[in-house]
Amino acid sequence: MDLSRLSAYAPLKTLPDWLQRKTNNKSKEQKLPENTFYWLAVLVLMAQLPHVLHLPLWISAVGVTIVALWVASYRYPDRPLFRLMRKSHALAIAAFIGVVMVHLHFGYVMGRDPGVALLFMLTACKFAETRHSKDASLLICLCGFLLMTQYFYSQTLLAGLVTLPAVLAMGGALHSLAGSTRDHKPVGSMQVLRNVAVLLLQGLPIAVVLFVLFPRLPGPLWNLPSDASGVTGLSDSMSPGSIASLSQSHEVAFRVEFNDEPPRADQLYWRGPVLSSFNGRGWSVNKTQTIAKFRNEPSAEINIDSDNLFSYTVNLQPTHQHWVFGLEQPVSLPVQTQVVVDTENPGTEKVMAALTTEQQLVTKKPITRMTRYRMQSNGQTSYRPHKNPTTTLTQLPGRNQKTIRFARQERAKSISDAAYANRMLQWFRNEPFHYTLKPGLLGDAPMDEFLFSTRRGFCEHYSSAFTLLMRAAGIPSRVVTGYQGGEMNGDYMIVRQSDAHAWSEVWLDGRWQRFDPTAAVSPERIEHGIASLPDSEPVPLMARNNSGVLKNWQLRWDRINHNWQRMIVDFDNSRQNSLFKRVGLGKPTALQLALIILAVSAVWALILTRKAVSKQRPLDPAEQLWQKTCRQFERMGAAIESTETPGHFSKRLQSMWPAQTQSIQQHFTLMETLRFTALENGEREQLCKQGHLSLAALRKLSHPKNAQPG
Amino acid sequence: METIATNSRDNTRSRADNGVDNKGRDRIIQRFFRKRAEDTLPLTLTHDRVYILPTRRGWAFLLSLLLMLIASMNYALGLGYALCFLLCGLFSSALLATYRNLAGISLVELTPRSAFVGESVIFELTVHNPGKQDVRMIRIRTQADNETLLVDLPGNSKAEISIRQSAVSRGWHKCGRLTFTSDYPLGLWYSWGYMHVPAEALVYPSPEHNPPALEGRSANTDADNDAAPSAKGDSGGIPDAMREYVAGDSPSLINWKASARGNGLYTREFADNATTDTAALDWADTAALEDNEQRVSRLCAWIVECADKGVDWTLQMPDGFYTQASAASTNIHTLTQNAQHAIDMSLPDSLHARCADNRHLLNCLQALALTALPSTTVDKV
Repeated sequence: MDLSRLSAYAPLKTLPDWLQRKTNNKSKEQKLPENTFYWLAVLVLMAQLPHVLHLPLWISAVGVTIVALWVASYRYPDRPLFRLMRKSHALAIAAFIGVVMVHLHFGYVMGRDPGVALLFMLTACKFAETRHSKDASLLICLCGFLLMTQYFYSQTLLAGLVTLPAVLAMGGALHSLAGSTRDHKPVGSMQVLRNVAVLLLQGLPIAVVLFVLFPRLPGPLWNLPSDASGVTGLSDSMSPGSIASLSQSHEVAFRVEFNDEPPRADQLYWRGPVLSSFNGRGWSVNKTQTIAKFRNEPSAEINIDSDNLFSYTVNLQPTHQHWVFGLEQPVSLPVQTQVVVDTENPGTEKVMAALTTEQQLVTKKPITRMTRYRMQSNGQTSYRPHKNPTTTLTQLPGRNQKTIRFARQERAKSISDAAYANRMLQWFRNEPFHYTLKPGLLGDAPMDEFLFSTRRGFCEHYSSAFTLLMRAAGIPSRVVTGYQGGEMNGDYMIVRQSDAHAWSEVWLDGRWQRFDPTAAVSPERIEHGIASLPDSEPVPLMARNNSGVLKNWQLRWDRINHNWQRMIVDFDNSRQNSLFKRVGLGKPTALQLALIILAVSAVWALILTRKAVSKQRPLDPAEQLWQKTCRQFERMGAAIESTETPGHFSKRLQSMWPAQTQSIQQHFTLMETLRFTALENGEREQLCKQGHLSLAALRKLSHPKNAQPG
Repeated sequence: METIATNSRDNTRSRADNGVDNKGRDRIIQRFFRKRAEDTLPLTLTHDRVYILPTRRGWAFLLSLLLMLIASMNYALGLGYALCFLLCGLFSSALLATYRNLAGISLVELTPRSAFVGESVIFELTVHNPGKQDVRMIRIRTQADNETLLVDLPGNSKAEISIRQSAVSRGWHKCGRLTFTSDYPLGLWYSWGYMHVPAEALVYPSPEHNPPALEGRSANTDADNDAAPSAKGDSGGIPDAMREYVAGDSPSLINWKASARGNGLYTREFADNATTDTAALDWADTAALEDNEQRVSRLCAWIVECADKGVDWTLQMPDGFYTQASAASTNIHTLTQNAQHAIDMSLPDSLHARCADNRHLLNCLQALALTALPSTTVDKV
């Protein structure tokens, strides 16, 4: 009988161990070690940082303050304030205040922007109440999501770079969470950083493969709520001062690549919203304008001057508005396109906008993401519409009586509408009008005040006044807003918010004719943009032409950003398809893509683990030399027999190369010494070196023609 | 005894019924769970022994990656994709790192240490990391306790670790399956590997506290018991020990019985001040106690007391085991059975200091530890 059976023993548990572990851990949940806490604090702050730029100041201030306070209370737990803070319901109150603030600011809670703001507050509060490793896990996931939401607002290179340290911090938090227990010496911070950096680098191939191969959707999964976010740009109305304030922004509105030579500065009128409703003070878009037919070919009515036809591609930043911009006058409708144009199969391209009767390019959906389209324009100053203007374009609401009287007098002095318009332009040129970003406030009759007393204004004042003067004389006219100018940077042009402009369009001889009174007042504006304003004006530093080195760097940076935009941010469905076609994949199915990804990851895993698995200790130098010797003589036609001792081998070699008897013998003696004699470390290395040298000398032996093995 | 026999017969029958099919499944189960102690030392955690799954934190991380991916898809965030896939890369390389942290570790030695019931059996492990890379935060767990041991192994180093398991009942105490686990470095993956080496330590019954006095239990040396032949030598006493025969020893001092095994001659030795008093300890003497284990503990206590006082004793067990001081070579038969395992049958440390090299004591304790006892009912009948 087997006595060993007697040992009383618990029956084997069939639960897998990782499951057993779960149940065990619950009972002895550990408090977070100090270094983990600090890693988490760094992570949360890094994830919050990019959001501070776009969130309302008070929300970001509260969020960051909560984190800072709790770090301080962790550091100095005995200060009365912190003790009170941790004991009371301070956190719950803070969270409640946060939600209320978000609601107050946005007016609603469900939506992308308030959602991000709530996530921001939630992350801060979660950090403050993190006690155990489970909380920390959740916090890390929240931070990951918070990090991603920053791309709703900015996807510049800088935004990408800012994320990297945050990802490192996230890895650091995970690492220190797993690598430190109470009774165990934690890993040093530098070591943690190094480990995480190595892991990230090792994971990079997988990240690249997934980025390139993961199928991109052609459209969104669900309809996006039209989030009116605080994007700077032109709006559908204009009042005195609105464009002047836009001019202070140096943000990029769009970038343009011209197929041929770029147009002259006086042709660079980027047509945007057309404002034909006037309320006595400001101008707004006529909501009832009808859409002309979709056209994809140059219209027959437009006299195509082939010398003056500009083909170009616009990379429009998201505006969250329903319009796109094009040079005056558009000849074709904008066609959405991708960076790598597939000449053989342009099937994915589609017309993205329609032209209204007011010659405005409108889209069905707001532009919520960076959009690329190509179109053609003829660079002319007038166009012939399909329909004659209605009488509403001569309406004159408001109290600008003096202006109206003046207009009628002047019209009476002119022989024609055209002569009158030019006369008024001349008048602007001659009178002491002042082009300035600081026009001062205007009262109840703003145009009267502007034209006859202050005479200080920005482009919206001039275009507004000019249009009013035309209407007062019974000539249909309206204000056109958009951008004027642009700055070449290498092979593309940057158009910034500071290039925002407004001009007039007047109905003359059956055509809409452009008049730019600002150009009459300040011709430099058209040539040099708002940099032409005197130094006392609050022109953004970068818009100045003479900023020298700084400007130069700024342009370079924009170039990098532009390429970043093209390569990384806009890598979408169509670009992916053209890339697949280029490398000869055709149109791979999801299964094929999955197989490729799997194959690549398998190779990657093999490479990374082989290094670890073949962790053989390096060979002893004597052994190394011996093997090298054997290999060398094998190549030379004298392989060592399996039954041969080194002594015999040496003798045989000596007989094969009688001339080298001595050197062969010396080499073998040296190997023997290296192997069997106790040597000092330095001596050993010296001897090794010698051995390799003497072996190299033996390599020069000629191949024995009459080699007789054995 | 009866029940044990039945059990084993049942086992064999059920195994025979299912035939070959069962064998294959058995092998697969053994391959994945290593439930039987079939591993031999030295044992390395090779890739076929290392398993890996995401931890709960890992699942949560994956879930948030999925959410990020969906958001990126919907809003066509190029950088969202990039961030998501970068973290995917981190997650994947954490998989390999966690695997590498565990793979390659080898168990070089496993030495059991005996104990009394109530004490701790100790298994001394020597773990070796042959790789160049440091290995950190390896947890070693046995099946018996939920206690885990945390080990760091710098590159190319060995570490000695003691696993303590409480000795609950007498008899053989198996080391059981060892589980090596690690979730280092990121805690997103949990890798584990089993090692099941047949190592056993003998657990001796715990000596009873304050047992009844031994007085009046002197041995009936001219007993009618055939199994207890007279041990009286020339000096008429019971020998204290034996030693190898040295030329010149008196033939009457030779222990013929021990020598008859053919391992050379043995000479009986007598201490100068040896008391002639011999305690005859018999299983039947403890009949006052209901519980078999208590009876064993009492016997054990008596034996230890005798050894302490230097009194000779004989031991009679119900399964026929009888020993007296002179029968030093009467060894436990199971020793040969288990010889290929790592086993320990030495005295527990607590006793070792007091009664070193007392072969007789060891024999008796082993008998007490291993004797299969009749069930209480059978005894009464």
